[in-house]
Amino acid sequence: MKIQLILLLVGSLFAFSVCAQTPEEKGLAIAKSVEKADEGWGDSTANLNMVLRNRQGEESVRAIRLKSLEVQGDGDKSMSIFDSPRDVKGTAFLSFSHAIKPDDQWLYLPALKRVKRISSSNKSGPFMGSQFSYEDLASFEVEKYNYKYIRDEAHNGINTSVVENYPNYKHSGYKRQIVWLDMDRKIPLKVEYYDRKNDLLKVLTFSDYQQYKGKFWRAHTQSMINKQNGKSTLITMSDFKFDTGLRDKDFSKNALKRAR
Amino acid sequence: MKIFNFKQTICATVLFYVISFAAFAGHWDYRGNVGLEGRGFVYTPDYAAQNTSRVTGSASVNPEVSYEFNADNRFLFNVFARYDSVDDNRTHYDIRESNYLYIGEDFEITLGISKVFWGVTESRHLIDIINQTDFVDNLNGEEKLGQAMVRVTLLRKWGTLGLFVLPGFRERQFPHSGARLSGPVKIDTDNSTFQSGSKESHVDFALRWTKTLDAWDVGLALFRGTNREPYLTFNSTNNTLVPHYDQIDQVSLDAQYTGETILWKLESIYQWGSDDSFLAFVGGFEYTFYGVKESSVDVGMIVEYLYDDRNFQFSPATNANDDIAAGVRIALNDTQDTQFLAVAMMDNSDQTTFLNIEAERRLGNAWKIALQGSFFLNVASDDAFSFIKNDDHITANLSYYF
Repeated sequence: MKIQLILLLVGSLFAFSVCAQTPEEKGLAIAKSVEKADEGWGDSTANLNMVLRNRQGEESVRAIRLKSLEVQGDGDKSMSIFDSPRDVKGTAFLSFSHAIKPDDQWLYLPALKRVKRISSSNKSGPFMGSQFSYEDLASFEVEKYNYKYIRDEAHNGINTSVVENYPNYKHSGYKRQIVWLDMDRKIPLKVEYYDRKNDLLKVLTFSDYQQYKGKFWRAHTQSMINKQNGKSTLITMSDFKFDTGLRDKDFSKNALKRAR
Repeated sequence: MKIFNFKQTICATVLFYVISFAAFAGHWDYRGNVGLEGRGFVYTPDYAAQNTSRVTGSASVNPEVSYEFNADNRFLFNVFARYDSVDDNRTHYDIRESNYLYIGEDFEITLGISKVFWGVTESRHLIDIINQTDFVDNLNGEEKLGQAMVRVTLLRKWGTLGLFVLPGFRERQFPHSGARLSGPVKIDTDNSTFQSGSKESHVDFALRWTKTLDAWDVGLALFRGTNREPYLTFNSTNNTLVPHYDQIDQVSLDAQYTGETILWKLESIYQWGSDDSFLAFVGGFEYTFYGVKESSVDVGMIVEYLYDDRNFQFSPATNANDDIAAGVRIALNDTQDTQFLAVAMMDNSDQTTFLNIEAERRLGNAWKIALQGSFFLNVASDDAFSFIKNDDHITANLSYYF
């Protein structure tokens, strides 16, 4: 009898605390679970193909080789080597991303053999003339945003949690983002980007997810549509490889100079 | 016309073929560009020897081949060649790269002809001493001749240390006396003199340490060898200027602080040779307004101060002894990567100004059009620029990349 009472008490306390979880707390908990689900991927390489389309339907193509290294307790390191357009072939970009403090970025210009440290304040600027800005392509870190859980809803037949992200870092082009998260696989399916005036700017859709190392999901297609200027960019990822033996020294200014 | 050292060319070519034939499993890569260039001079020439046509044409090719044996071994070959309709010295070819690279666990070795860039500033590349500047190709000082080297790079916790052994000095080339930008007196590069008895065979050495400390990127370097800049002596018998190359020692410091919207930059050297020792530096900032008026356009402002206290009686002359450089960089960040850069460098004592304007834009996926305007403004009669003060010109370049 006494035990039952205690169980009841504890149970209701637990239920109460869950119910009392604010939308902000729930949003943060979701973000943490998403980050945790992607922990331990180590290092990877992949090819990124970008098709830029303007309102008239004219296309322009970008091809980039990506190398990435997971850094525990900080943002990831990445190296991007451009293959197309051909006039920038051999140009390489090294980035050490951080949650709140500005990312460290270097650009290698092959014609001059020059490495330039560049400011990362261009977060809201377009990446290679595309509809993706630098911040859209940066690695996800929980500390980058404040969160607010909105609702659960079915999205294309998949159960999702809808969460609002408010950028915490400086120089963001957004007031907020609304993210549709598949909570079974802990992956985003759709993101709506709202500009600083809180008008809908862009919509990003992730698809063709494949699982690697039996754990980590990677979208092979990312479609970004700009609702204000009618332009769009389609990213197609291919040749994902994990455990490629990449190490810290492969993400250095020196490695940048010999990137090809 | 003096072209690339014959022996070096043969060695490089043989090495290239031996290595490529020995290889059977690896990865070949080809890339490069061909370009057509038209140059228009604003004024008629000042000197009788110079060709009177105000429009000149030129074509260039710059292919690059690499062979990757595996992730740790690579061979790279890059040659540049240009034909110029008027300037026989600008018609030249140069092996920019022909080297083997080995990537070890915490070190790298480069053997052969290569190109190295040091520095951070925009208006003058003061500390960049390894490669000779190809001034015939472009006045902006950013084109470099290939330099033979043995380079060992050590990658350590305390920074990156580069050790350079540089055999085979490359002499600076100048515009042909029959072409514009040459000045009134022929520069006789066939009879150059050297302080060192081993002349252009003198083996030079360099050492460079670099490290990134948070927002700072710093470098220290030491160079001992043949000065890349020649001192021009007048030969009254032939009425020519003869380049003379001293042996020098030079220490240099370069640093960049990368802030949120501002980059602080400094390059400084202290050089001592046979008759002169001097300090020089370039320092300033680049401030960028990102996404001007909610657009994707970036506008950067560049301001640099240049100082050089060398004695022109003993050291090669420079235009950058007490100058202010101010410039604007505009990047549209559009699909065609449209960019614009204008830098004016003004002498504080006589207000002589060199204005360089560059604009470029990609056409389609493989073409690029570039415009460059070089203007000499308000040139004082005793300034070094006075010899070319009426050689203002605009260059249009169309390149195809493959």
